[in-house]
Amino acid sequence: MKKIFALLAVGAAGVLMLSGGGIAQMAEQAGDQVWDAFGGNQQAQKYSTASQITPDNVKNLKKAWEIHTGDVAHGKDETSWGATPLFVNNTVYVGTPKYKIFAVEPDTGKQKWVYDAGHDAKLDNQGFKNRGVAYWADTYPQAGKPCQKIVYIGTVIGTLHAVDADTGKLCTGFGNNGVLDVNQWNTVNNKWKVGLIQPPAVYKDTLILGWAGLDWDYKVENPGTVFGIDARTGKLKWTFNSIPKELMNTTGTANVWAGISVDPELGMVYMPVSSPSPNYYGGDRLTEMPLVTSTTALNAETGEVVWSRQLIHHDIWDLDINSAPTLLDIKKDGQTIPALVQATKMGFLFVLNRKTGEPVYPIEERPYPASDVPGEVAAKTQPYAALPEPTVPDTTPPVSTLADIASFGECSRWKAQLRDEGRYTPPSLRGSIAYPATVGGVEWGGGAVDPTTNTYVVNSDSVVQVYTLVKQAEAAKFLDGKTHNNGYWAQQGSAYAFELQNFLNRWGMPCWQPPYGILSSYDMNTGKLLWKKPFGEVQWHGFYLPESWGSVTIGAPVITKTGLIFIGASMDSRVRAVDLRSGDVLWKYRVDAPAVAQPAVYTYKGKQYVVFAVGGNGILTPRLSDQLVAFALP
Amino acid sequence: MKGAWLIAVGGLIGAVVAAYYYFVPGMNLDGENGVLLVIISSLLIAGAGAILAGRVTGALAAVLVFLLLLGIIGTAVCAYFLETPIILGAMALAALGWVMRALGHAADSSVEVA
Repeated sequence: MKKIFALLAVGAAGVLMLSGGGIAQMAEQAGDQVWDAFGGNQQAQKYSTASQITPDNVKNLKKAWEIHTGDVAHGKDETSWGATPLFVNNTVYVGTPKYKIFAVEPDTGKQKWVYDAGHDAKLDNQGFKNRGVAYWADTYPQAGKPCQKIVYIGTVIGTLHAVDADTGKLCTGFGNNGVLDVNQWNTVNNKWKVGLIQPPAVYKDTLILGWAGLDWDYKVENPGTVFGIDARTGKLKWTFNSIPKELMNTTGTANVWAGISVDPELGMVYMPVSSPSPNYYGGDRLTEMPLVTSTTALNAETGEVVWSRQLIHHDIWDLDINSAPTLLDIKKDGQTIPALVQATKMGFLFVLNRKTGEPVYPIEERPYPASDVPGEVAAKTQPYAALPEPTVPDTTPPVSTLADIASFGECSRWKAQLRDEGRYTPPSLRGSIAYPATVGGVEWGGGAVDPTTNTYVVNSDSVVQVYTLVKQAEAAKFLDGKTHNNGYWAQQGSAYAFELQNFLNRWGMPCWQPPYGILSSYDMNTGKLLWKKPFGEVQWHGFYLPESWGSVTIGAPVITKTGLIFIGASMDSRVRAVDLRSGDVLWKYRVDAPAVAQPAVYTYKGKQYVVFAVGGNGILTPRLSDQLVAFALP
Repeated sequence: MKGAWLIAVGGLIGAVVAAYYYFVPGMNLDGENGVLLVIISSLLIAGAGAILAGRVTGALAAVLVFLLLLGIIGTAVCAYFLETPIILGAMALAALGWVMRALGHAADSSVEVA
C-alpha cells in the first residue's frame, strides 16, 4: 500500500511539473522550499512558503555562514554585484561579477565546485556586472547522463556558459563546447558586444535571454533583440525585436536588460522593454515605435507578440521599463483575473490583465509639457495610473532648507535656473529637473507579492537629477574624444550630447527634501495602499542619517508566508526583516556593503535560510564587497 | 586635576577606538571622513585635557574649558550618528571629567575666597 501511495505521490509530482508547477513544487514534495530563479520563481513573485522564521522569533536570527568569492574590485574596473543566489538541487548557486559560478552547501556555505567563465578583464561595455545565474532541469532526466540539470551564466562579452549543476563541468552539447556566443546574432549596428548580465528566464526547454548595453553613447546602436534559445543545445529558436526593421538605422537598444517573467500555464513570457537610443534626445526618432518602453507579452514557444502596452510614449528621460513584471491572480468583483504588476522607474504600478494586456485598474492619458529644444517633439500625453497610488509624487519635492543653508542658497539658486514642470518635464538646453529621473522610482528588482493575499510590497527611490542637452560642439571639450566622460554622454550622431547631474549642493547634500526612499505595501485585490514608510538609512561620510529620511535603494524585497519582508537594498549596508502588516523593522544586521539584490529564502533539512549576496553598487556608495552571507535561527 | 586627566583619558580612548574603526574593515566605517573627524577631535580633547591637568590657570584655562565642552559635545554627537557606543561612552567619560574639573575648580575658588 505504501508503494502505491509513493507511486501516486511521484505521479502527482510529475503532473505538477508537466502542468507548469515546475521544479519548485517538485522539490517541495521532498520538504525543501527552493528558490530556483532570480525572482524566487519564474513568475517573479519573490515569495517563499518557508515558515520557520516568524515576526516573533526573527529577532533571534543569526549569521549561519559566510563566504567571500574574491570577485570585488574598486576604481576603474569596479564590480557591481546584484545577484540573487539560487537554491535548487540541494545546492546554493551564485554568479559573480567576474563570471564565476559558486556552488556551495546550503547549510554550511562549504564549496562544492566553482566554474570560472574566464573573463578576468573588463572587455566591453558594462564593466564587471552580474545578477546571478539561471537553472534548468530536464523534465525526464536519465540516470548517469550529464547536463540533465544546467546552470547558466552570461558574461559582459556576450557569451552564455552552460554548466552541469552537479559537477560544474561545461555541457559540451550546448553552443560551442558549452559556450554560446550570443554575439553571432548581434549583427546590426553592433557598436558593442551585448552584456549578458541578467540571467535568462526559463520556460520548459527554452531560455529567454535579453541583454544590457550602452544607450547614452550613440544615436544608432544595437537593436534590442531578445533571443529564445534551446536550453539543451543553445540553438536559436526565435528572436523578438521591439524596433521595427525600417527604423533600425535611426535608433537602437530598446532592449530587455532586466528580468523576464513567465506564466508556464499560459505559455507566455512578459518583458520589460527599455527606451530607444539616444535616451535623452528623440528628435531623430519621432516615428512611433509601439513596442518600446512597454510591457510586452510573447508566446514563449514562438516569440510572437501576444500583446504589448506602451507605458511611456517617446521616452526622452531614460525611464526604461526595468523590472520583471510580478504575476498574480487578482480577486476582484467576484472574479479571478490573471494579472501582472509592472513596477516602473516613474513610480507607477501598472496592473494589467496578463492574458490581454488590458488594465485591471484604469490607465488614463494625461497631458504633459512640450519640449523647447529645436527638433524635439515630446509626447503630448503619457499613461497615468492613479490606482494603485504611485510610489513617486507628481511634483518635485521642495528644496531642502538644511542643504540650502549649508550651501549659502546654492540649491534654491540652481533650481530657479532650471525648467521644472513636474513629472515628464522634457530635457532642455538650460537644464531640466528630472523627477522621477533615470534612477527611479522603482529599480530593476521590482516588487514582491504574497500570492495568498495579494499583498504587494515594493521599495522606491525619491531622487532629483538634472538633465541638460548640450550642443555637440560645446560638449566635445568635456568628452575629450570619448563617448562618455566627466558626466557627459555623447549621444554621438544626434544634434545634442547630454549632461547628467545629481541635484546636490557643493557638499554633496541632496538639494531636495527627504525621504529619499520608501517601502510601500498594497492590497492588489483593491489597489489600495496599506502602508508607506521611509526605508533604510543613508550613511554619509560614515554618519547614519535619521531613519525618517530613508535611503535610496537598489534591490528588492522578498515576502515569506509568516508575514515577513526581507530586504537589503539601502545605502547603510544593512539587511532587514520588516513586518508585512505594519512596515515596522523587526531585525537588522550590518553586512559589508549594500545588498543590491533581493535575498534568496529556502529551507534545507527543515531549517530556513535567508541568503544575501552583498555586492554593492557604485550608484549608491563606493562600498563594494564579495560577501555571500546566510542567516538562520540558532 | 583628576577631572582633567579623565578628560584626557576619554579623548584618548575615543581616538584609539575611532582609529581602529577607520583602518579596520568590518564596521563599515573604514576610510570614512566622519571617523577621521572623530579621531582628530578626540586627540584634541586628549591634548587639551592633558594641558589642563598641568594646572593651567587664567584665561587660557577658561578658553580650554569652553572649547573642551564644545569638543566633547560635538564628538559625542558625531559618535551618536556614527552609531559607535564605545566612543559615545568615552565622551561620557570625558564629560564626567569636565564636570569634575569644573566642580573641583569651583571648590578651589571658594577655599581661596574663604
